[in-house]
Amino acid sequence: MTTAAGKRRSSAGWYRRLRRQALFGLQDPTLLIGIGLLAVFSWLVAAPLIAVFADIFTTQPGDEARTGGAAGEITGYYLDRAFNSRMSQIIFWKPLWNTLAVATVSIVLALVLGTTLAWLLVRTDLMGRAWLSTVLIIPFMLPAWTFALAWMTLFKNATTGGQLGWFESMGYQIPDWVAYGAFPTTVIMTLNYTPFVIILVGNAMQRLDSQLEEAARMLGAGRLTIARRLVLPLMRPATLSAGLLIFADAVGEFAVPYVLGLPVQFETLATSLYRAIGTQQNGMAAVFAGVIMVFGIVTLSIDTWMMRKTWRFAVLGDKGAMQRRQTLGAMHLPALTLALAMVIVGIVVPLGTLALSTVMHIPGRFTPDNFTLAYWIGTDLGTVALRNGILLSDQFWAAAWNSIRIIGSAAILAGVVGILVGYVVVRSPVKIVSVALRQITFFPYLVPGIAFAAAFLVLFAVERGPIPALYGTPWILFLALVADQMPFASRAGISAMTQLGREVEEAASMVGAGWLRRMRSIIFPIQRSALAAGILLSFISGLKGVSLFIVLAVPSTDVLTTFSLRLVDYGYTQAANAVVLMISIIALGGMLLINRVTGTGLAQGLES
Amino acid sequence: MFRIALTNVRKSYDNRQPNAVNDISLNIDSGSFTCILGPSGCGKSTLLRMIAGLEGVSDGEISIGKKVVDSPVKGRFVSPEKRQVGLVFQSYALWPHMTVVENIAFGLKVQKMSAARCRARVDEMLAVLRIEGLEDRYPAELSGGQQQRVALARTLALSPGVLLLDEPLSNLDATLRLQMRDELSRLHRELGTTIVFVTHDQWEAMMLATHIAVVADGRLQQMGVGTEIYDRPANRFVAEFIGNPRINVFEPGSQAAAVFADKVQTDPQRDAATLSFGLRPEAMTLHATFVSGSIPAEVRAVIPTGGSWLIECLLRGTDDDALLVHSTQHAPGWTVGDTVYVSPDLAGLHVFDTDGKCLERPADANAETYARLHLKRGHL
Repeated sequence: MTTAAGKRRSSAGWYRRLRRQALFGLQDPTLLIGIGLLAVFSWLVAAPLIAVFADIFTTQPGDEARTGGAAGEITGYYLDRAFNSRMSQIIFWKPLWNTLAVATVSIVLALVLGTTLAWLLVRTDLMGRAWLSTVLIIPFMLPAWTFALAWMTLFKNATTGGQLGWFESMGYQIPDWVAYGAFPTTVIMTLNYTPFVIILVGNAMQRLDSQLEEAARMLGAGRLTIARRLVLPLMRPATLSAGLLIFADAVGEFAVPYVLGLPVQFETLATSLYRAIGTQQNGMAAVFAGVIMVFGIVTLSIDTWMMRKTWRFAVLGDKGAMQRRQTLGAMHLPALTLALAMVIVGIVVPLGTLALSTVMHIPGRFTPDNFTLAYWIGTDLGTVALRNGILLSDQFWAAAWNSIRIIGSAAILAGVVGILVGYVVVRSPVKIVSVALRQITFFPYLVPGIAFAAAFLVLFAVERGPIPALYGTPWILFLALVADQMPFASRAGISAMTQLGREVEEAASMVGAGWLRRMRSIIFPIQRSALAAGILLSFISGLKGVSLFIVLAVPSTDVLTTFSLRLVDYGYTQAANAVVLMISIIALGGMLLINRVTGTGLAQGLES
Repeated sequence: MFRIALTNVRKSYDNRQPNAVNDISLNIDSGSFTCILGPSGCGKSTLLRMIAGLEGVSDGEISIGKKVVDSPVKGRFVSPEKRQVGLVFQSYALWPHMTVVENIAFGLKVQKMSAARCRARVDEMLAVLRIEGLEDRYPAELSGGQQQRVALARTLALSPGVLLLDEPLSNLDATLRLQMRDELSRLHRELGTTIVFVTHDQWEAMMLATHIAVVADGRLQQMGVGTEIYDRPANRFVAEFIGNPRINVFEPGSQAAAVFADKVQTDPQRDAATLSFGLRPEAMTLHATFVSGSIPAEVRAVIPTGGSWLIECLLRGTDDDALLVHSTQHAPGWTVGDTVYVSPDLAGLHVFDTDGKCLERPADANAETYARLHLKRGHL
């Protein structure tokens, strides 16, 4: 009797407690929003990736005869064909080897160059280091394939059709290995990644308290000992981390090997993936995408794991750490030469080449009559597809408008959602929601763009449930862009929200402002510069990106990048270069604007 | 204007961790100026946030005025803005993107007050807190003291029945602290609001509060007016926490404790060797020659602290580390190595049992009866 009554009482108590919990929860919908965001990202990020892995093991329509099963049935055919067939050497192992070789060599070179330059900029009295530290990271703000086009403009030989490069038309013979394939790809990727190393390692060096070195010197350690036993070990986490981040990116790099590799059948995983999609081999495309993803995931898991391990012994000071610069002395001139050489090779030559090429009829001929503005503003050019200079061509403006419309709206949404993600991650009362959201929004970073695009194609090309087929519409690009930008946008949001104390919002709560009001009047206005930076960063990175568009865009959703790649395919070098220059100018301008808005610069968004 | 009652309040964030607040019952009188005092991490800020409604209790009940505002058992939770409670954060939490006027007016606008009345109320608050002339400044352009006044104005604009302050003086420099102390006392007098504040700083507590609640490890240790807590600590924690320089405590079983234990009246229930003894640094006199009841000691250090002196001595016949610290306002004539005779002032002598609980003195106890109660053979 008594136990039954007790039970009734306690169940009534349970109900009351729940009701109170609901009352308490109502004033703070953070958790609900977190769960909502999780659902959206499961659909935008997790579902496409799962779909790709599923496709690897599923017979694709049209492949029934090969796999010996009906479409949709489980098969090991694709894996077998990739890893263990007569064709594997050509279709899989060779591209894999190319990918890894190019990635590894360019990372090692970029690490050596970048660490040296970072040290020169941060820890020495190098002349003009303030100016150099701005200029040297410019290549990172430009699309990587800008350099590929510049390379082609300079070194293209007669192996492929179209206009020759400057050197060939000046009468020099350029061998194929210089003009195309692994060598130029490696050089360009090195140039493109060096600034990234400068940023990451430079930041870490900036926080390394020079008192640590001075303490060692007081104890009698020589300069070499200090460098070997102190600075290098302390820099190792940052350097390794930079290396791993670059590796994940390099494995999926598409545009550079695409531009430079095709003439000599130099294939990487990314170009093989693109070719598989182009030839309707969805199963094989899924295999390539899966392998690229696995590389990305493994690499970045190692990075996360290492960061966790190394943070424990990191004795890096705060931003206010003591900084004393070393005098370079006799080494000043060689050091300065290295830095300036980097500026010339990495920025002046490629951009100059591109710029000059757009105002010259015949490449490499520097006579007054060869210069023209026709490719910018001319009419009735003798070409088939593009009869006007690009500034007068409808296609260019249509592509530019598409870029701004699609990428711009995706960037705005990504920026806003990024702040919201940051809000939930920092504030969520349930830790697992916070952790899950943090990881799922970072996940696209693990997946190179081309693989992510392939995954999107798999999921959204056909009607699934209430979602209609999105391929061919701007929506698929829009959604892919939003998801693809989330790593940056959410990191920016998280770091912005981490810096904003909870109290500022609670103060508004105390005077009766509801959640929406708090967002509208307090959180977003305070975070407006972080929001602006997040939006701009997303916009620029979307503008530079090629991989998503080349897979997901159709002629009606042509954007600047796909437009210029098409011009490359047509062999319209001047027009293609002009479009790429325009993209570079917008990207650079945007970066300068970000520096203005946030007062910090590019480094911040990459670091956290 | 409201009384606040906490009944058996418990708060845990994580079942695996110990409770942040452990079964605290506390009555805060209407119109009082109460301090919740405790070391950092003792749960005092959590208490304040639970009163404000920013956090919910895990168990127990909080009522403000006649209203139960939080009680899991009764299924009640009143959200912060409906409790008529104002909270001034330690960081002030001014909205950095709003001017002083916008900061003060925000709450009024949220409450849908008309523009004219809102303006009038803002002006009134500017006057009450004497911050006229700062209307259009942004928080970043204000000094710490000005920021606090704006934070107070913003909170008081809504006429809360209870004003909660989180470490109200800790972010201010010495001069501003005194100024703000006067200011808060004035506001308390003029508005008659119940004020509750938390701090880890006993000086802040003593200066401001009419009542002090000492909290440690999530438990209420003692509640009383300021001098009561200093003079009659309920337990060893309170005795040690309140007072600077710290009270001298001699651990049970130590040789120094034995010196005192020797004089304590033997209680048949209690083993004298289990008692610890606390003696306030000012509660003793040092003599150059032996006087009745004094304990010989050797001066180990004389430390000037600016206007007062600390003298560390080692009781004769003890060789453990327990030094006796004496503080005095008068320039001492001793130097290191001198022998002095310490006469403890028994009003400042506290005896603690094994649990740290202070052995009670009768309500009417004065030094004489206390001594007779606890010391045997009347050595004094």
